[in-house]
This record gives sequence, C-alpha cells and structure tokens, in this order.
Amino acid sequence: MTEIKFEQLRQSIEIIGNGFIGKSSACLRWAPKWDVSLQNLYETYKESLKQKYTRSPNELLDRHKVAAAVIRSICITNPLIATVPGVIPPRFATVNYRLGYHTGIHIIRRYAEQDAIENKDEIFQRMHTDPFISPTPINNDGSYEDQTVKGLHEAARAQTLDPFLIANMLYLLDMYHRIAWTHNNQAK
Amino acid sequence: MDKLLTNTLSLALSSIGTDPDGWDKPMTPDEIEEFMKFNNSDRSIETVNLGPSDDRNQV
Repeated sequence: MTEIKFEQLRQSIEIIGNGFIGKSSACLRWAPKWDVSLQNLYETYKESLKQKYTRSPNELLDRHKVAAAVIRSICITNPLIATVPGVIPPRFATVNYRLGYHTGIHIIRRYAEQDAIENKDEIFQRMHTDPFISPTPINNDGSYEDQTVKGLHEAARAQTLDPFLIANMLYLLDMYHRIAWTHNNQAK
Repeated sequence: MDKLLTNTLSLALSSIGTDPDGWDKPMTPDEIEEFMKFNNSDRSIETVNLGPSDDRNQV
C-alpha cells in the first residue's frame, strides 16, 4: 500500500467541494484557508492514531482508518460555509458531512485502485473505479447516504466522531460494494 | 479527472435537486435541526423480509 499524500487528498476534496458549490445556487463557498486548517487537524490526528495503534513507526494506518481521520477532520473544520447565513436547504447547511462521506469512500477506493494497479489486476481495478454501489435502506427515512449524513451530524454535535466506528462503517461499505459489484458482473 | 474521481463526483452530485420537499427545500436553522432528526416512528426496518428463511422478525 502506498500512502496517499495530503496534496492528493486536497485536490480530490476541492473537486468534490467545487461540485457542491456549483450546484448550490451561490449559497456555498470555501472557508478562508480551509485546506490549511484541514491539513493541520488531519495530519496531527492521523499521527496520534498511528502512534497509539500501530506496532512500529514504519507501519501505515489501514485505508479505512486514514479515510475515517479525513472524514472526522472535514466534519470538524467545516471547509464549506454558507455565503449568507439564514434560510438555505439542509443539504447545503450540512454539506460538510456529505463532503466527508464521499471523500471517505473515494479514499478507500483510491487505495484499492492503487493496489490493483500494482498487482496488475484489471478486474479489481475496474471494481474499484466503476460507480460505487451504495446499500439500499430498508426503511423510509431517506437514502443510506442521507441517513449517514444525519448520523455524522448528530455525532459531531455530541463530539463523538469515533474514528474506529467510522472506519468500521467504511469497511462494511467497501465490502458491500465488492459483493454487489461481483454479483452484478457475474450475472452479465 | 480520472475515472474514479469522475464517478465519485457523479455520485456526490446525483441527488441534488431531487428532493424539493426535504433536503432541497430552503429552511430556517430551527427547521433544519428538526429535519435532521431521525424518523424513529418508521418501524419498516423491523418487518422487512430478508429472504426465504426469514421469519419477518416481528419486533
């Protein structure tokens, strides 16, 4: 596994965030120096996780914990802000949780794609670059993504954004996509 | 932009504007706080049929 540097993460976050801004009818913008704030928190937090939970200085954090550290850092630093406070859709008032959710999934898939390229495994490369398959909710309270955004919102308010729980969610999403993708592609 | 990032962006933006009565309806901060609460009265998750061996798990 090759570590993804912050600059690569920043570029991906910026592209996803610019997509949200472009669709927001001018009610969103980047916070001043959002990338500096995000990098400071992310690098510090990732290093503390690494010191506590890896067995040697050269051991890398696994991809799901790296992505969890990014999600937590985005949810705390709030890179996107409303241009004018007041009446806006909840989608944009809570956009940083959605930005974190998609960035987190993107990171675990980027690591998997890199592994596939290094191993010259074209099927795995396709699996991890094809459209992501999200779980289907089995109640009537919105999509899986919407419910996760609500969960991150509640966790952030309660200051309980636990990286291990977020990493576990990402692991299960990763497994869901792999199984669903394999099922879909075997059926063809 | 490569294939993975293109697909990530597409998924991230796909639902914007599709929910005019919910996520895409302009609201005051108080209304948003109310909207963000989970709908705990929906019990459909507890009666979903998971397959042939499922007993419909009535809770």
